[in-house]
Amino acid sequence: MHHVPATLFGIDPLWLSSLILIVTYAVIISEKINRAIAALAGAGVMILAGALNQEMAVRGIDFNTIALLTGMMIIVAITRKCGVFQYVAVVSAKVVKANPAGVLLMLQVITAVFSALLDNVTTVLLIVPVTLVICEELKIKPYPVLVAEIFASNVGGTATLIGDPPNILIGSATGMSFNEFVFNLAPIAIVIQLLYLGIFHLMWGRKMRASDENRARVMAMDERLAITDVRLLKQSMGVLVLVILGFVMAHPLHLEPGTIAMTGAAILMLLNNFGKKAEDQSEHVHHTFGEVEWVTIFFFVGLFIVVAGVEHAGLLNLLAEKMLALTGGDMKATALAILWSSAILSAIVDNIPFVATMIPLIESMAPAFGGPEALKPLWWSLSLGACLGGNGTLIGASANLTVAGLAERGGVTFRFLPFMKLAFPLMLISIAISNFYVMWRYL
Amino acid sequence: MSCKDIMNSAPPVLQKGTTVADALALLRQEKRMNLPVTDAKGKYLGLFGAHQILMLALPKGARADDEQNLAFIADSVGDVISRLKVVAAHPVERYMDSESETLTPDTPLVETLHILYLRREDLPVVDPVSQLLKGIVTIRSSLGKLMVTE
Repeated sequence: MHHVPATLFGIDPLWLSSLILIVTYAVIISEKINRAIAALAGAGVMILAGALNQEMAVRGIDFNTIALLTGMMIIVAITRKCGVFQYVAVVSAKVVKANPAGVLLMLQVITAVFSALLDNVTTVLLIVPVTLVICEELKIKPYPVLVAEIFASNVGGTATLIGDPPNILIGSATGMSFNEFVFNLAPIAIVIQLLYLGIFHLMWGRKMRASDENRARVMAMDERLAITDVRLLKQSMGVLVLVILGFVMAHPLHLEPGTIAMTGAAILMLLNNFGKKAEDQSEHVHHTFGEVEWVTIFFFVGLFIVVAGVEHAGLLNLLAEKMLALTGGDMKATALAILWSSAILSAIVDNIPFVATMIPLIESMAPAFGGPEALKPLWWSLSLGACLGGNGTLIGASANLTVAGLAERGGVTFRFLPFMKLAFPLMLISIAISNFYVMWRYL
Repeated sequence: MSCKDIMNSAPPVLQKGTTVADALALLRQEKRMNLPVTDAKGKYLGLFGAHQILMLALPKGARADDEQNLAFIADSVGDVISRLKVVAAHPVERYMDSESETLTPDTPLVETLHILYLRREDLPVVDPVSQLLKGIVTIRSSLGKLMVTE
């Protein structure tokens, strides 16, 4: 039992923490201040105002999530340098003889697969530049391919525990295994991705044309030259396979994903620096750490503390009770309400703070539904809604904005409204399919 | 001593609206790595030079990721030239660097030399209030002036 500090001016902790949460989220949504600064400032105010003490704040941070994110970022920062992602993209274009419809399809497939195994933002950072190169050589418009890749990154990320931050948060909070995520989410992610492959082929792929001369330019690309360091390629692939195997085996071994990712990162850094001079090692490690997205990491740290503040004050219990009252304590109504509301909200606002807040809220519904085990339909609904909802608008997921930013540098313009007009209905289709899936499989 | 003592106060400039092809011709004629771009009133808009031309010669995908390895692309000289031909008639302000560092006439001498050392390229000198181009400092001319002073 922690010592509960006195709140500022004796204000009711429930009101005080709620106010801090609302102001913090408003600042994050406004995008006027960097989201890591906003979250950390909110966390600081939560402690200074007496809603939490430091010990409670530190206990509120999910270090498994932090370790998983940081570890995977380190692994990707090293792996990307060997050129394997360009290699796979070029090979995939050549497999379909540089036929534009085939290229559109293959780039979606590899984006979805990479996104399932790596962070979505990293995946698009690696795929978009090579996509622009291939489209330019084929002299086809890159916009449709990039839009399709946005969808593939969000759908692929839905399939696994490590694919998208909402799943990392849910997995870490519930202790559900990597395999459980794959068994429950991969089937529906595959169905939705297949549907998108069909839709994008009908919309764009079947009308795309490239001359024989331009196709020959892609076929002339030498994918082997994309590999910059064969030794690093072997090391990276070896560690990545071990880490994935580690995630699969984690549950029976009683290991957390954060431990596996961090150990994998340490092994890869060890292999990458082995035999080098001490000064060179320091420079390499410094550079690798510099590529970790610290803004995201500190954003999570701040959010965990802000959410811990409102959780401790009882706000989330109260909201859970209200939600149960609205749905009449019915599992089906609650699951579908979570699915649709998280999809719509995730299309408009950052899904990470939303999911971070929803997790303790759902956890507090456990007694009403007969224990934590009974909550699984709600977790899958939250995951599907939050991950797939990100497709709805350009600001719905970090990967979307990353694609738009890279495309802009390559001379391709993404606009908010035209994208939303196309993407929002397509997102709703995926949520409707998820609705049937959740009902059929869990309710 | 400050920047104004070593700057060239009447440098060749590219007017807004100059085409990429004409800019390339002037760069070659003046044997410059880059030139300042100004509007009709002499207000400084940006720099255009070899760096931008190299960027335009590369596939667009290269601009999206500076660290990307492009060794797998098998383009010929003709392919590169055809990329430049596409942009030859475009105005320079479309591709100029409008965010690069500028000096002011009162930038102290040592700081001017320090920035030249770090940037390794010719730098425009701009009035901080009016934003009018006051001159340009080139590595070659600044070293020349310093030696004459000695």
